[in-house]
Amino acid sequence: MTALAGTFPPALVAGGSARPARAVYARAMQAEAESDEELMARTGRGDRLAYARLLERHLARVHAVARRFLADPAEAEDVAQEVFLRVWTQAANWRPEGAKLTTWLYRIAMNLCIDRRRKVAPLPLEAAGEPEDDRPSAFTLRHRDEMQAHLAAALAGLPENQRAAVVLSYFEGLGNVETASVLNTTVGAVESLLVRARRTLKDRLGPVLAGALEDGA
Amino acid sequence: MTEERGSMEAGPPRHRPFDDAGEARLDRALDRLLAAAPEPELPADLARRILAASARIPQVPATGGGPLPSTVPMRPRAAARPRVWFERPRAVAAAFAVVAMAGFAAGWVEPLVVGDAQALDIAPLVFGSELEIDL
Repeated sequence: MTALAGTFPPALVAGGSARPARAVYARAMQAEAESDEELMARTGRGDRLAYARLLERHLARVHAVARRFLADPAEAEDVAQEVFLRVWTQAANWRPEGAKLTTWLYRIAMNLCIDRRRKVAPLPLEAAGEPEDDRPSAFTLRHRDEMQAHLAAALAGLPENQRAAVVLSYFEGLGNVETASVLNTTVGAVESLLVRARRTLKDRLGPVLAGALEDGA
Repeated sequence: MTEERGSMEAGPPRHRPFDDAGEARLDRALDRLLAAAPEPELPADLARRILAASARIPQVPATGGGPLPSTVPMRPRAAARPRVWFERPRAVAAAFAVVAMAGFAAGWVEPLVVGDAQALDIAPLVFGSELEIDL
């Protein structure tokens, strides 16, 4: 069976109706080859299997963007859920218009993240804390986690647009053109945002990076 | 270090200044740090929760054409929402014609009802029937 069939029970995918597993598998195999646009078209016609396939393809990326932008994991989950509920409700009206589905998803996610960040009071940098880690403690792991905690704190202090550019460009690997499309700005503006963000990060992480360099040397 | 000793600026620098080579190494260290950031873990049941939540939400029917806005709720298109009166030119023209016809009809009927206004002599009502002016 595909990962899709393992992820979602057929009854849930089929909207509650009993559906033979063989039929679900056959349709899942067919969906493997379908493009995002085709899946969106089918989702717009109420096809829950196509919607589940879109979830499987893009949920992790959307959640990762939200999680890196927002400090609160619960907020990130809410944003990811809101994004995909909009996919479900608006699928019938979605038109590619030359842009990829992922661009639209990232744009919704970014806008929701910025909205939520403006609503809640910003946390102090110290609130970033250390990332959760249930692995066995070791000096290298601890050192790496401390570095990432510093990075998370420095990212939390960046202005929204710089932070969004860093998340999309460095963490999600988007090109400047697509990042500009997501942020609804120009490529030059994205480059400027990244330069300023790097300068700020180096300024704030200077001692940490210098320590890492000395340790490495 | 020489910059720190020779600096006349108020307040210490926030970190040790680097020369060009040091700046490049700092850039590489930052790149490594960014690249080493762990992938956020996707909650195992998030997809199921979203799928279950979507089952309770109806889809917006297709209205055709046009790009979707990213966050603002989509404004209903002209065909999908009730049209206001000024968007109905034939209705406005018909209403204007009805008012004009009513006005014309009133002007035609009025002399029949109250008589010709120019034929009325209101002087006796104002000055009395036996007006005499003694010069």
